[in-house]
Amino acid sequence: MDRLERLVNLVAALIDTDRPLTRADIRERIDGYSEDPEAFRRNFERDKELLRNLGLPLSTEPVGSSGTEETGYRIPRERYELPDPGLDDSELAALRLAASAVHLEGPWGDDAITRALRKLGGAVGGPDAPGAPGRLAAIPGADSAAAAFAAVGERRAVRFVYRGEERRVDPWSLSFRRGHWYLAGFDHSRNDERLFRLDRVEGELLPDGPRGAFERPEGAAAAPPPAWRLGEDEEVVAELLADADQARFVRDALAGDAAESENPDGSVLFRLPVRNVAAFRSLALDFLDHVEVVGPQRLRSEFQSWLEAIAAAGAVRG
Amino acid sequence: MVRAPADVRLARLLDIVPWIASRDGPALAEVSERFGISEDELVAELNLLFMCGLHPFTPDVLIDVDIADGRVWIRMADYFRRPLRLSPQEGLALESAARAFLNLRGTEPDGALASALAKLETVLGVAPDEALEVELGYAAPDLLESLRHAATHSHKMLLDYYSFGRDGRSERVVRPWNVFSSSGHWYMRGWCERVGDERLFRVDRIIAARELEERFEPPTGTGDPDSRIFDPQPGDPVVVLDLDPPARWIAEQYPNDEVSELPGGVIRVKLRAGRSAWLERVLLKAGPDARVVEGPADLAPAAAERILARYRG
Repeated sequence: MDRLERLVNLVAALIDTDRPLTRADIRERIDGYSEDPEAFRRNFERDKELLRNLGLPLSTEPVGSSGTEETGYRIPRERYELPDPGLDDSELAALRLAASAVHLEGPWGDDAITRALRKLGGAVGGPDAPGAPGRLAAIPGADSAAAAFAAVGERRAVRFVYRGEERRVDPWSLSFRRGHWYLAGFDHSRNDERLFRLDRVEGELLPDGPRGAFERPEGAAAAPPPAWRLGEDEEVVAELLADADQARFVRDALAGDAAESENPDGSVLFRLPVRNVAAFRSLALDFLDHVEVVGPQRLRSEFQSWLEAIAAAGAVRG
Repeated sequence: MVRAPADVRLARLLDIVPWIASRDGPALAEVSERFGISEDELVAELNLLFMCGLHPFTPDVLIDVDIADGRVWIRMADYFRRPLRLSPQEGLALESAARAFLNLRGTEPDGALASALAKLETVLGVAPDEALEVELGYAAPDLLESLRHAATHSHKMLLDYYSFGRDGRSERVVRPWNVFSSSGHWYMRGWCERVGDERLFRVDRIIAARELEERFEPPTGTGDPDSRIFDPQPGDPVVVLDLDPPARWIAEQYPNDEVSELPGGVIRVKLRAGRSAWLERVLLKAGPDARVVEGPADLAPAAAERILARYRG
């Protein structure tokens, strides 16, 4: 007997049942398992693992009275079934076209899009269709981003370790900017809104608590602040003077985060709020001697001492 | 017929069955095309399906599959009335591609893609413009469009380009091969006639670009963007650095030849760094947390002195 036949019967039985099925039930009701108890146990373990790897929500519940309890299995319909979004063929084709142009890379491989489209009604149109742009962009994916995305959709709290601390967060929105995934939300550990860079999450990001646990505030997907505003330092307004020929690169790097005024010689003074001095220093150092940290004095002195220490290390060695 | 593994076949069947069952006899050819399976293989799977069902596997509880005149009907499979929910990875892949593409093309808001996203809200719980935002990088739309135009039509371009690696600006004629975004930045890969070699240009560092009349022969096999963006050459000088924990990002972020652990949480990394302005920046940012073991030890101190000149004036 083809293993697929046994698997189809197993999934049908687990969905159709209105009570959890014990191993004895399964062995009796599913064609294709061996009579031999050891062979049955082995095959059933393999099948369970296969179903879980495919993402089927196989739930386990204790059955029987206490003392003689055993594990029962079923697949709850409400967790299995995809609600029908009712996409028509032109919408399916538009999604396929977008997915062929913008590719989310991830440890899960290339078939996530293929499977997603199949579940929604199959592949219509195609990358070879007229007007298809070909591959335009790759976005690095990560398991933490996928887990955060699911939690945002389910409005379900998540927990993870960030900067060495355990956090519990109501996830409001997810964004990909400047090459990184960010999660915005309410941090219960800090009792305040926070933004997290997901590649800095240590270990796994896990759901924690029931679905539908909070309401997303309006405008939750606002742009995450840049690195120099993402910190715990006391806020200062930094003044950064850029030479005329580099001002446009500084402007791009600041991404609209700064007020600016142009001097008669074409140089530009940028004023930007800073809450992370180290990140601001890295920003300024990217422009080498084409920019100058003008103020405030404390920030300027800090920047200068950083460079003095590097210069002094060279003098000692020399 | 070579069969795919059982998990692949099961996943495919669980997608196909609800689609057929909710329709009145779709054509086998259409099922085959939508679900990426050959017609022969499809018929073989359907023949197997009609032996499946529920205990005690009498005809009244078996799945009813009819194939006639190139069409197929499935009945008696209520437990397979809907496909499996999207996994988080599938949801994110779909939604981020669609959202990025919308931003990119400025597609009309009432177009098919926008309406698809609106409908997916019921499935994913994520409303348009509310909870997911994807930006592929900063680039002037006009510039991006003219680079794409030149690449598509194989026209050479005259670029005024700022090289971050060498910290210098220059004009050059390039043959633009393709334009793509990777990790939040837009790039153009092409042939630089000034250096006579292939080069990667960051689009946000192109100061001006002009399409020339002169055409070039497009190369073969450069259709896919290369994700290895930082591409040190084997001939570049070797630099060995000792990094304290706060500077470990250097080893994580840049390609390197070798990393080894030293006592006290220090790691030693060996990399190729031909472009000294690049190395200057890395060492200046890391400060006391990075030490040059092999290579230009005077590079960072000299760069620090150069910058400090502005402050001592």
